[in-house]
Amino acid sequence: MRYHFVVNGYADDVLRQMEEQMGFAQKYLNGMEQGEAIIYCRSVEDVQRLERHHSKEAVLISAREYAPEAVLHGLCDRIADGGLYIFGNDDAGTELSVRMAARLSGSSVTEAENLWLSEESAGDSELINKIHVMKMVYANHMEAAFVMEREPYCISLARGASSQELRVGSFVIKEEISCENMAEHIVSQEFYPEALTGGLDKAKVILAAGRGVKNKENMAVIDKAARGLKAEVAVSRPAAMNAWKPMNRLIGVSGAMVGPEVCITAGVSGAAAFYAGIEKSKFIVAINTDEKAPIMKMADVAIVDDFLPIMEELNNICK
Amino acid sequence: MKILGCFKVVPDLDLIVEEDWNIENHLHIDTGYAKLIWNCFDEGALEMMLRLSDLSEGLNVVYKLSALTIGRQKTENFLKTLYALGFSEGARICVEAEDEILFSPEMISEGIANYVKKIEGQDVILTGIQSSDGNNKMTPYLLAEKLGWPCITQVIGLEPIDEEHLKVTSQVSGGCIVRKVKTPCVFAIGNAPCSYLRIPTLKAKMKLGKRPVTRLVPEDMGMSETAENVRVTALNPIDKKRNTVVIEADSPQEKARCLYEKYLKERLSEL
Ligand SMILES: Cc1cc2nc3c(=O)[nH]c(=O)nc-3n(C[C@H](O)[C@H](O)[C@H](O)COP(=O)(O)OP(=O)(O)OC[C@H]3O[C@@H](n4cnc5c(N)ncnc54)[C@H](O)[C@@H]3O)c2cc1C
Repeated sequence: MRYHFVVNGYADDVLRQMEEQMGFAQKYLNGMEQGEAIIYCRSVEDVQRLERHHSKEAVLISAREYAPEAVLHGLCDRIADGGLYIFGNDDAGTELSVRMAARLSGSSVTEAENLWLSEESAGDSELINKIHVMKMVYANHMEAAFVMEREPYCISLARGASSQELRVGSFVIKEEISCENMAEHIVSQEFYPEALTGGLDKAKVILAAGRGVKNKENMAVIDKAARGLKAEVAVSRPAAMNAWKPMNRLIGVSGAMVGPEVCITAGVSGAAAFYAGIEKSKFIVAINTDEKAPIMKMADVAIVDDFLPIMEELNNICK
Repeated sequence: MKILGCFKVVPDLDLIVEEDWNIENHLHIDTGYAKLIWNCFDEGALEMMLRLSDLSEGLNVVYKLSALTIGRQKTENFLKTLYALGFSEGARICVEAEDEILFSPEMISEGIANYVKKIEGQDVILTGIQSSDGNNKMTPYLLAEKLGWPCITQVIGLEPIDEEHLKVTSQVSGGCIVRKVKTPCVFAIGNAPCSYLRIPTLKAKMKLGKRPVTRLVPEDMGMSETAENVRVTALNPIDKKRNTVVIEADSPQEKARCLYEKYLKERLSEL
């Protein structure tokens, strides 16, 4: 069986996604033959500009604007055989892997953490390889193993996987499939970039506020303490849903996955879907009124108390 | 425009006690005792439908809102809440065993697709991007494929345009995209802000919330012959514990000072 990387050339973080695909292959696909990469992108130039590669050869599926329907058209036209297709860890990768498998009567698993092969007999002493994949379920409370029943096997990767340095040099582009104007449902579209407010993923210190902070006024106290601590402010899902902070401050499986030197949580219970986002922090502090909150066992240091006087005092100290 | 909101009622996983996650050799967890809640992304989808309807007031477009769930009898109360909030149709495909709909996105999307093909045609379908228990992240995409419809993912806002078009905002890396979209289309709803479902008034509950729910059986919705292409073979607990030190002191101020002096000062100064 051969494996292929499927790359989102539209993504700003395409190199990081490729590094994680490389990391995955190095860890779990040892000995398996690698086939050409498939890159969906705006243009050949975009791919050449990367100056890095993780497969020798690549086939491009190009269109000025990204639309999954256009990419799927190119993908499914091109793929004649079975094999394993490894998509990146973004929403596009997840959507495309599922829809490609559906179109080609294969199987898909999203957000795969790892992968292994087993040999099973298919009668008459013939042995066939089965693909198994592990992923998080129950909102990150557990991990589940799945066996994939049909080729092509299409998986998207979980975020936060280990990465492997890419090779210097460009892909050899074997073919370009143009898929312009294949999203008839989109009459017009416009992109609005987010005002950058200091990336959470690069922050050294993060102060994360949860539902326990209770309202927007109290968020101001958090903001003040964060300035003193030179920390970036982040929030849990309920705090983001209540619009105490914009959505790009959300931490967790559906937000940013961070790994600062110090992460201080205030009024956060430590639900598994949140914790997965801060798990890689070197040092975690939890401030919570409830000593039984799950975060109180998953932090390095815990304070059982109201966050408000703690934040005010930290602010006094840092002045 | 006919809009269908598909939702799952799920156990509140934040209430599952720790020991229950630490089981081995089972293929699902007993969550029967936990309070039932709207799956968070689906709740966002349903509220988005109501807001779309609010926004259409004074415009020349009428939205007919329907809701469909696949699950147990207990979920019918949720459909009744939707009636009280102004949904005109509520249906349930009756599946009583929780584990049958846990890792079964093929079957679920088949059920929804057949509902739309055989029972109530629709122009737009909203689903949450994933459910909290199965975490499959597949249903909206499989549904789009089964219907031959396009799909937009990570949708965080919908606004009316006319009978055949919607203004759709979706989150992408680095910002958001606003599109004018022609129906039919499937929308997978992601992290929409302010996505808690409104609460119906008592009066609305009394007046509208008593209508019967349409019940359908999985066999008629093509679900019993649908096979999954992926099968769960094991569930493993995960241990995330650290050796936590609890700071003890008489006042919160003292605790804060201790935290700073003992644990933060040096770490912060090294950065
Ligand atoms: C599929 C899925 C994906 C999800 N993705 C994410 C995600 O990416 N990020 C995320 O955060 N969540 C996510 N969630 C939601 C997650 O499961 C939790 O519901 C959420 O993280 C809880 O947020 P919280 O800790 O702020 O709120 P709660 O769980 O309500 O906790 C509030 C805490 O504050 C404490 N508290 C109250 N008052 C005070 C006070 N005065 N001082 C100090 N402490 C106080 C309470 O004791 C409590 O522990 C997801 C859920 C699902 C199902």
